[in-house]
Amino acid sequence: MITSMLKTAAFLLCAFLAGLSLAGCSRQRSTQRDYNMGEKVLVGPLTYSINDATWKSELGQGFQVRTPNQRFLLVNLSVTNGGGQDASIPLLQLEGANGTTFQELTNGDGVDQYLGILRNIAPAETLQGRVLFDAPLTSYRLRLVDGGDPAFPKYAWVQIPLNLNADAPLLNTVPGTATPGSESK
Amino acid sequence: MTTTTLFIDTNTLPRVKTPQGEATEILNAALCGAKNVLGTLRWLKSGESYTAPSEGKHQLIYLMDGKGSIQLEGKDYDVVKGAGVYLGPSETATIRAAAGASVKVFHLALPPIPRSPA
Repeated sequence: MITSMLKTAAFLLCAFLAGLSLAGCSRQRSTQRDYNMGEKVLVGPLTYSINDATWKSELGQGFQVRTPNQRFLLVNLSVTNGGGQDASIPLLQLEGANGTTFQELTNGDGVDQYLGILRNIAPAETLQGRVLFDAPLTSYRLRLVDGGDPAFPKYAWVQIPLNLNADAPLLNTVPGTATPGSESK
Repeated sequence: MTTTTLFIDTNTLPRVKTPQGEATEILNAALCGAKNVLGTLRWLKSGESYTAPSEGKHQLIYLMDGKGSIQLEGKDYDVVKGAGVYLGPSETATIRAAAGASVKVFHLALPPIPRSPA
């Protein structure tokens, strides 16, 4: 009898520990690798695509000029809801190399095609626009969120590189116009 | 009203040795009457660096020749001829010549332009 009770207790303990373990896993369903700009990034039901990122020292014109505390970073992105129900896109966040984070600004004055802050997205719908950050000039990771249960968020990260070098010359952009000796392989 | 063109031969201007490489001012009050803007050419050898001070000015750093790195927010970015960065009044950057290389940098600094009242 005692042996049977011990076996039952051991079984229950194992089940409990296994449950704890699985619950722990379910909280960390985030991708481990960083994506590049232009790649499609699936986070939960949302598919993000970061189209470009532009640094600005000010926004607006004339008397409507808006200056940043550090530097404005405009990120142009599109988001598609591939799920079966409405979703909302939370505010995004930049993560610096030294652990600093910068929350997306909620004031879109001076931003063309501002994505807004109330970003509900219906199934099969795509939203496209720009979000705004105020951060020191350097490279970052942009943290994307799935827009699901806020208690169990899923994340993915996209590299926002900084290139100080002049753009490389474009070669072979138009078929048939390749210069001699620069044939692409 | 007549206008004249002033030619500044930057090759004949004396270079000054500083703790942050050799430098020569090519745009200032003495050379051409510029009251606010200051343009400087700077040469850095391997191991030398120059930090553009955050002095409440707008600054432009442009790599005219060579190979090195520009440090922003503690992170180094490799740069080659043609690279450049604009720095706002509160920003700073450090440019460093790569190992075994040198760089020639054009540094332009000017104060913020006061905005007209609305």
